[in-house]
Amino acid sequence: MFDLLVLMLANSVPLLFAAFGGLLSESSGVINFALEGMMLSGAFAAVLGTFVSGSPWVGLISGVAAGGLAGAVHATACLKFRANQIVSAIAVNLLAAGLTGWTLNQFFGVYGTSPEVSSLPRLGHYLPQTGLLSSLHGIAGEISVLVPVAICTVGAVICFLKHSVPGLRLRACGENPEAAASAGLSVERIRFAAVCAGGALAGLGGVYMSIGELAQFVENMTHGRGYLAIAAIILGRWRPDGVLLSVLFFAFAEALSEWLSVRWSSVPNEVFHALPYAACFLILSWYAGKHRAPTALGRIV
Amino acid sequence: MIRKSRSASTLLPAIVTGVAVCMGLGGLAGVGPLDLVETIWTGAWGGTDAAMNTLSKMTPLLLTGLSVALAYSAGLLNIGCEGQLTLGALVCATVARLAPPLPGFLLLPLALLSGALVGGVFAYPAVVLRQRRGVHEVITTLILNYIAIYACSYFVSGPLGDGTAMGRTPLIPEGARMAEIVRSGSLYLTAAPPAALLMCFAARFWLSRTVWGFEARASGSNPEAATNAGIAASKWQVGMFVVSGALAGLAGAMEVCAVHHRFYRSFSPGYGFDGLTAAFLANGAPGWLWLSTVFLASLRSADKWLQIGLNVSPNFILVVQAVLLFTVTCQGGIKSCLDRVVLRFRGRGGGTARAAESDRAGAGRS
Amino acid sequence: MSDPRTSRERLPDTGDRNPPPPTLPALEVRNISKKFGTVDANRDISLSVRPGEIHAVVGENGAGKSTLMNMIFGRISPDSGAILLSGNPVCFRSPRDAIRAGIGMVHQNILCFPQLSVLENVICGSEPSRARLVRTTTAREELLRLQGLFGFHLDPDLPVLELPFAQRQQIEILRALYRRAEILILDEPTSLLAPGETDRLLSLLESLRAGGNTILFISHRLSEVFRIADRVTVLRKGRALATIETAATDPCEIARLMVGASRNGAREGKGTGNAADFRQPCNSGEAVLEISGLSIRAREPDPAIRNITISIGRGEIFGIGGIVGNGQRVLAGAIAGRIIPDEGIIRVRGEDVTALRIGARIKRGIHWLPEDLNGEALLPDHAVWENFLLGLQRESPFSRGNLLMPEEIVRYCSERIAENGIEPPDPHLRVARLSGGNRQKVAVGRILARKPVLAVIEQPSRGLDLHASARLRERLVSLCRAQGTAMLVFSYDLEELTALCDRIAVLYRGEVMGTAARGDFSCELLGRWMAGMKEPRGKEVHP
Repeated sequence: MFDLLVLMLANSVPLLFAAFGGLLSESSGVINFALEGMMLSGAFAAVLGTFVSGSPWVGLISGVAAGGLAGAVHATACLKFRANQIVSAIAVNLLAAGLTGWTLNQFFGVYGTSPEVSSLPRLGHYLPQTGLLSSLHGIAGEISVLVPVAICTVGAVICFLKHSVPGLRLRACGENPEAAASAGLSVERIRFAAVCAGGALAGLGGVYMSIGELAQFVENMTHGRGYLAIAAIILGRWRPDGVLLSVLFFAFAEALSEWLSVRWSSVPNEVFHALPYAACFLILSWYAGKHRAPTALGRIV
Repeated sequence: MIRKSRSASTLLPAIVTGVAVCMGLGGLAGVGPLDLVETIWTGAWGGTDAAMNTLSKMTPLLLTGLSVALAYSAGLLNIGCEGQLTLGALVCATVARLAPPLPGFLLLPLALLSGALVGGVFAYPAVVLRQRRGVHEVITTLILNYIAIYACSYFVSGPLGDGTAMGRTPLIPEGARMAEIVRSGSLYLTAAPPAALLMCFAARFWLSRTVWGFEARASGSNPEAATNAGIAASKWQVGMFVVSGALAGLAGAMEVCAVHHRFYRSFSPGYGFDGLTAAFLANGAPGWLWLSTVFLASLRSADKWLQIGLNVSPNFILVVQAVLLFTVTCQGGIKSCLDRVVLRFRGRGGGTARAAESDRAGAGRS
Repeated sequence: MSDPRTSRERLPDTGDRNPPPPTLPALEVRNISKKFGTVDANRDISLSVRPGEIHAVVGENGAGKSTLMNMIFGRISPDSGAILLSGNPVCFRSPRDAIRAGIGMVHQNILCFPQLSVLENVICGSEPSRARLVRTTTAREELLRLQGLFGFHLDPDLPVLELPFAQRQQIEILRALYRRAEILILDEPTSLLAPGETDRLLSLLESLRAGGNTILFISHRLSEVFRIADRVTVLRKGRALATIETAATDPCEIARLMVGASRNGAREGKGTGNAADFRQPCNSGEAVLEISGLSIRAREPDPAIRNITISIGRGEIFGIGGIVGNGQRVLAGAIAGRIIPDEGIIRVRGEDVTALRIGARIKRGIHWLPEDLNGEALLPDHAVWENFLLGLQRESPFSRGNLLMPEEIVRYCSERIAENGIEPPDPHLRVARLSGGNRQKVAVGRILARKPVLAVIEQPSRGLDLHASARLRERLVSLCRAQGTAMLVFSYDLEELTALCDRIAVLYRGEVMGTAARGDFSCELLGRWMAGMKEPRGKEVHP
């Protein structure tokens, strides 16, 4: 049972980063369907950065930067050029898929899978070999250092949205951009920053997938996690606590299906793969919450 | 009589910008712009074989593009083409194989219709959820994609497979295959591409010149106003979305009956998402789908030549698609940017800026 | 900001109309101009506001009042001209600059954040903070202090979407005061308020003036202007005609300036003359619309309506008044067929239509013009001809079988364009490119051309200028009288209703407060009903 929880924790990390990044963007009123592309860019840039510099920390930074850059592209299209926000996001996802694959080939000269690079350290790296804490090595030692980072990030984003001045302003932009401008806020700048920051967070989710869990990049390795993160935002009705719950739920469904697929090998694999999606669909169709989307979501004044 | 709200004057600069950016990107990879165009051209249209290959690739793109465009004209976004197409293909292949012996002129329509039907049925829950629960159809169709693809993958490797480990169904009987109209060596072309093209133009005519098309467009443009004018807007939206799903299902069925003659795992190489690109490159207008589809099909059939001839990863065509999608969806902004640049050159800067501002003020007032 | 403060102490003395003290104006606008496309919204306007006065700006719809205020508040930038604060030229690139300079604005269409709390709405943009975190306690204390000062009672933690309209306006006022705005701009603040609430707002403004604030008050209601303003500036067609001390003039003169002398004559001749001409009593006896015991439960965000009984005869114009959000929209929707009632019966020409949907009611000649044109009536992204076709697409000359007949449609559309005076007269233009007034003409024209048995019209003259709305009123009256159309008019504007209707009922919290026939209704009576008082100075009614 404990390994199920650990599995769930590991599964939830990329979703947490992406969903809370997306929440930032959507709270400011910009639909962020581009999380998938942002994660993918982050994942690839992390490997590239690590490969070039030799240090996974540089990789982490470049992954975050790449996610932010993808966010900037989406924000520019939506805010400066008044593009259809969903079409723009589809283009970002396509661009990320194309650019990562293309650059993978240009840079490493391979198709599909990058060579292995060094990955981010795991918690065991920091635990003392002796003493009281050394007993944690068995399981906790295998946890990536990004897991505590994810937990802190979630707390930070929740606190940011609920209690901070910029968080309040960001939500104001998502509620009524005209009123926000009239209250003296520069709506476009706030939204731009929100989408970029959201992209950076989603990029961090990608970083976790490429050099946190693994140590290489695989083409299209995010495999729909970005879309699942959006589903989590919608399911959580754009409330930070709701989003957290939905992410944990998805992660649990994923973990359970992985866990079960080992134990019940007679049941076809596809059933377990489809399980989180089916659960999500069922909940979306039965659950109707009181809270609504940000009032001005998708509206550019 | 009908003037397009967005004319070529905004679309053209956007496409030119997009192409220029793609050329620039190609330049980064050390490929000259002319080489790029030439490789794509010869890869897609240089010779009978290449042309036939490209033409046969157009069928699913035209149909999924039409699927997206029709849903869009009713104010909905169908991201679920991929799943609907896959399901349609599997069901078509199964029906064609398991149906009682029928003459060809019955079996083929039956197989195609069954594919379309299942596509439509699979689109239905998404639009119902949109109307009853306010869940955006983009997210539901996307989730349904995964469910459909995993389900098909299960069925084709299990109960409906041919018993090998290849993950494919047995071949469909001769009677359910579409007849060849052109043949060259091992390659042949069926009536599928012209049929798909015909459907696009029929849809264009239907949308712009018939009462039903008008009602469907009105329902998409402003459902409230359409309802208040006595049009059953929500029924039109449901209907159009189901038709959209059916077209995607038909695209899969056509692929089975015209090209592959069986269903196999990972059936669609992303035709559903290409359909989105095709529809939006054509500005959502079915009458222009042929052009965007020719372009996309050319890219698709030229991708291996990029690799062989220029040593560029086939992923490059994704980049090209993405860039063009960006510029087309940003066309309004690009046009006004260009206008501003032109004005500044003429020394009358600020005119458009002022116009843009007055637009904004107008929006603020309403 | 030190100048206005010193001048403020001297201000109480100016009450006796002595020449103003020689201080710099708190706000001065010099030769400001603004063009939207080819339309001159403001032409060479100059205006000077003394510190500590209430300065009214009046003018017809489209005279350029809102444009001028938006330029002062930095929401749009002028093409030419200058704005000076206490003698210093300023250049506001955004409202932020204006707010920093001590200007606050209460907007006509109330700007708030629906899902944020009252407290968040008020402090947004100037939050008290420590280390970038909002100091909620400080903010709450300050908000409660301000509320106490002005007798507001808003729960700081309530989401704004749960507040009624009048209280949302209080939020905007609180927001300006919270920022200690020296100069307060109020853009038609009373247009959505009941008379009682208006009174309270005007007293509040007076107490603000006593506290030293300078107030720019935009209105077209001269009674309010003359009640509180020290001076008034008249705008017409984008020009400032004059600035006059209210003590030295009277409402008639201002009204003449507002509409221009020639049109004023026309208005008086027709507006009041009409009333006399057309008002033969409508007791034809034949009831076209009979509503009895109509009740609809509240469905978020719509309020409930209860036990409504109305009967309208052939050729009669029946008005429904009331403050925004008292159930008018629900009632209109129920009669049009948009909402199916929970209880009660609706009969049209004796036929029970209660269970019929919109389409079936349209076939019986019941036509509805909803309030929100862009959202509910028009297809903004489609051409004018498509908007005129909407609803007629299955009728015989416009389609044959399932095919549309373009020539017929365009011909019909061109006739309607001429008949309604739509500018520019191009059937292929997208409706989104028309001005608000012309959009209204499209929507109204579409309904009137169908010769309805029963017309349900919400806000008939929204967006129209005085001239156009007078013309429209004539058309409505003659349509009803000539063809026997029964008409139900919903409006938030009492003057419009009293000018147009044979009988007027007022809705308050979903119930009919009373019905008065022409001759019996006065603004005072209707105003009391709108505020929920049945008897003069009576208790508020709590249904």
